[in-house]
Amino acid sequence: MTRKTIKVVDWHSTPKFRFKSEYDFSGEVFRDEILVPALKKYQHVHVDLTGYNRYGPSFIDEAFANIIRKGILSPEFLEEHLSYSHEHLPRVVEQIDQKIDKACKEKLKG
Amino acid sequence: MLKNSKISKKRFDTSLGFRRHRNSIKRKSYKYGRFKNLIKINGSSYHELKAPRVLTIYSISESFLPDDESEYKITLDFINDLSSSLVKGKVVVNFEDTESINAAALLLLYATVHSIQQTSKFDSKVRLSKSLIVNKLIRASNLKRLIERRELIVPCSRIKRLPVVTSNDAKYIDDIIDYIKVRIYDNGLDANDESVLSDAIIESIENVLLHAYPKGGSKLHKQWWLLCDVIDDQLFLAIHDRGVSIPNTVKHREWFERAFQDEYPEIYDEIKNSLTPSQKFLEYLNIKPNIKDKHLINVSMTGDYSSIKTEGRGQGSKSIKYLVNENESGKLWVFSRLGLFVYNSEEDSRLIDLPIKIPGTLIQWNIKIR
Repeated sequence: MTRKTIKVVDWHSTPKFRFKSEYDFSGEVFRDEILVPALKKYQHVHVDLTGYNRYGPSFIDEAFANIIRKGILSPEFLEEHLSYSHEHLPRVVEQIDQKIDKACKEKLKG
Repeated sequence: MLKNSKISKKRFDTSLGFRRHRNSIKRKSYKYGRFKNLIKINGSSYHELKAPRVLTIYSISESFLPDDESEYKITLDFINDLSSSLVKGKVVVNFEDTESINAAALLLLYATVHSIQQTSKFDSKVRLSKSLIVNKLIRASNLKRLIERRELIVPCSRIKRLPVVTSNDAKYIDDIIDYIKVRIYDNGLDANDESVLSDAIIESIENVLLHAYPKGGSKLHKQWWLLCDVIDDQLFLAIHDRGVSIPNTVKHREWFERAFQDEYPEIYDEIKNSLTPSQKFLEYLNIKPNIKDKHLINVSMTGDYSSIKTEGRGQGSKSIKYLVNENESGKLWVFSRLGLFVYNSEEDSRLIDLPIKIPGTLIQWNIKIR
């Protein structure tokens, strides 16, 4: 089984915001250029968010939950192939869980 | 003889006394600002604009009766006068009589001067107050330097007091948070508190960039201004933009009709029942006189109506409300156009009509420093 760990701070030291049009290191850029390609290439991807505490809710939403909203990958696929952690900030992990959960419900509602 | 009389008439026409008389008749109908006066500095004439005793936008009563002498109105009148004077020419902004100035008014003043500076080259000076506290605020915020067109202090965590921070993108966001972490919390902000505070700051700035200004406009024109101030154990944060205002933008959000229905079900039903088959909800809302700016701000601040269509975009007030709810003395003020929303908790919020329009939106909230 091939595994990949992405350390977000190795990608950029201060990621934030939702869209590429707002900031070059936004949730959209992280999702499209880093996370989704890795999910398609490796059997399991772990995102380590340790080292930065200022992601903001829109970065989290766009990078993780919008993979489902945009229909890029299914909730079941993410459940099986994606994990995430932050050593000092359980709040961020909870935020990702909640945002993904909300996107799944919206997807079910149609 | 005839020639001589013509010459003397011409002399009279151009004599100083006649010109003064003619000017006084011509200017009789002109209206002057209550703060203006003409003074000479190094041989040049400057319009002196006297700042009021109190500069504040918080002096608000429940009903906000249109009182000419309310501090809110006096402050806004002064800011508007300053705005028109700077465009015209040389100005001395005189704070001599100013005894107090609060963060939101200071931010509004700063943004007004800064916006004018982008388009016109004014020559202006500042006369400081007799109050040391007022002078400290005017200096530390960069307002004096800005008005006098001197080099501004750059925001960073090494300076004692953060000036007004302004940008049109993500620049300075981390400097603001670093400053709060290092200078205000003395490096005592833990990871969780840092994250909660960052969420609120990032969310409010991102809201300005995404929604405050007309769509398709240049990134350069999406300016925001932020000021933080510490009073006792409270950190006050104020963010201002000079965009199209919440009442103008909220109506065009995809969740608006649903949110309006939830907030004002009776008015919603009344509107729906009176619509003609070809009429749309929004068209009718625009001509409904009893729907005021304060109601539209209220709709923008309630719940979370994000949907698939809006790509998960909520109204952006959740993180700030969370911080306000966590703080016993927490309060959120949202000024936009002619409306004001004051939030203490989910059970306690007020809607107020403003007597003078605020340019764009100003949001202020406070958090407890632990």
